[in-house]
Amino acid sequence: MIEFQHISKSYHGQSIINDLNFTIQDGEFIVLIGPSGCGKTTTLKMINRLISMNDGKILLDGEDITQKDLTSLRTGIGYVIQQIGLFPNMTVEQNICVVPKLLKWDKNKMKDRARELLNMVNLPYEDYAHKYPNQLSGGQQQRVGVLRALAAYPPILLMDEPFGALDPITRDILQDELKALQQKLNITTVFVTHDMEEAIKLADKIVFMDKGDIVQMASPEEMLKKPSSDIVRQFLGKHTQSANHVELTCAEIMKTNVLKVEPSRKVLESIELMRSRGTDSVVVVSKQNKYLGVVRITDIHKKGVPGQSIENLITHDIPTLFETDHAKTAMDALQNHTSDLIVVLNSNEQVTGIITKGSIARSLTTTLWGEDHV
Amino acid sequence: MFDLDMWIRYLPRLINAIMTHFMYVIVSVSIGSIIAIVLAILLSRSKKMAKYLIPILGIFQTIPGIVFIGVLFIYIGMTPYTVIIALSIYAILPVLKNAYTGIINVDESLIEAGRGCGMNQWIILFRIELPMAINSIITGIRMSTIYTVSWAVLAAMIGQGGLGEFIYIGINSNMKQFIVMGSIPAALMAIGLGMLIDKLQTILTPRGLRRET
Repeated sequence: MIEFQHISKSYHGQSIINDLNFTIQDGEFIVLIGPSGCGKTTTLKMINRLISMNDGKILLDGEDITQKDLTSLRTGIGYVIQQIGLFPNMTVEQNICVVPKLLKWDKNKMKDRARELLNMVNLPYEDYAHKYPNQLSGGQQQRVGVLRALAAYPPILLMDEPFGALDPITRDILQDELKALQQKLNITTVFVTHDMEEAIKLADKIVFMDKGDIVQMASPEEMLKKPSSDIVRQFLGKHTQSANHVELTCAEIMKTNVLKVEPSRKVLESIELMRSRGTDSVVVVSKQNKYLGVVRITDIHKKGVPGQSIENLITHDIPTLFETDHAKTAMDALQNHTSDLIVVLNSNEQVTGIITKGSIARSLTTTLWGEDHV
Repeated sequence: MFDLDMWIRYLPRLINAIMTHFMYVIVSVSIGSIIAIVLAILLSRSKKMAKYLIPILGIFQTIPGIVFIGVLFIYIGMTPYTVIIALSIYAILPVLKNAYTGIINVDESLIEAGRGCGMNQWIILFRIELPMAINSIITGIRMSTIYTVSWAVLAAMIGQGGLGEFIYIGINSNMKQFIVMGSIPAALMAIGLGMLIDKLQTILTPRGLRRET
């Protein structure tokens, strides 16, 4: 059990951590998250005394960490950093055995442990033990980094953005491996990240920090359901939406910049408008923006007479839905109906948007991967 | 130009001079390097001090060797110690500069990883910092050695032998043959020691740090 009791820290008069109080239970996977400068890394590094606090106490199983011998404190806590930090002058095996060697383990015991650990992450001892870090890929290096931290059976593992420098696919694989390993060994883990997806995937409990304070401490599920403040909600962003996808409405998946014309519009003008907007239909509305129907380019080509208004070309068989309708209704309609278009109305029957397969794809992209991918 | 008879006649004396010269180089470079490495370790713990001390030693280095040996001669006298002290002091700076740079350039994250693993300052120094800096340290020793081979010529100025003896005699008596007899072995010694140290560098550089891997 790790207990933070009234911890505070400031650098040059600037407060980094204000009165931090929380407890980590044995075997828990805790993720510290928050905007940069929130104090999450400082909090992590105070546990193995790489950073000292100005005030307060951290208790490890009831014992004040400042009362412990520094070497025995640190050899009892696994530590993994973003830069991996494997020693380039040592082989994989030597790197793994750094802590056992400090603890003066017997040579054979060290060798057995290295073999056992390497096999656990599918890096066969025979192939990898005598390689040097620069002969491994980034993902393999960080696997070894994790093994080095685990070598001497520490009850606690600290990880400071360990997968931040890896490519998304490798990161994903290592997250899975870590979670499996952590559960298998039942090791108390404190993990710092700024990636909410990673936090949700790994954490038993997420500790959300901002400006040196804990904003919310909750399980991922609870945080997604009830973010306690705007900053948490903002960080959760896309995840809250995707978590509530069952409640998605038509308003959220429609395209709002709709080409709208009045029935008095002339045929050639309408063609020009469609061409300039790159669309093949216009929505026809009354002066009060009430929905009247749709004119398709194919109908204009078939029956349109230049110089006349489009009034006679309007089709009325386009399905309509209300903004508040369930998004699934719209998707079903697109799936079953011959139309490739749905017009969305507000409660006053005014046109507010249209739904096409394209607009659904776009809104899905935004929901799943965030605004910047659109 | 090349007078074989003369080489044969002076061979015993030449060998003697080569041995003395070689001894000066090895002893001074060894003393200088040890002092330099210890200083570099101390300075790397206190970068503030390094900021002042290294430029001061740099200024010291610009004092011509001939002046320095002269001054030491006044205080210590006409002994080999004068030569060795002077050469050792000159040998310090190249090693110190390289060793210091090598140590402080070790990636901060490696030091942090070491501390996080529970290593104390000394273990970090011997297991991480020095092995990582070894390449740079040996480069410094190589520079020092090659300089010292030429500075050791000055030993003859205060009558302490070495290859400088032949060169001085040659200049004073205007006998080119003596100059050649003094300078060719000196040049060969510099080249040979340089090659030897290169070899040593390849052997001592940890395998994980070698370029070809």
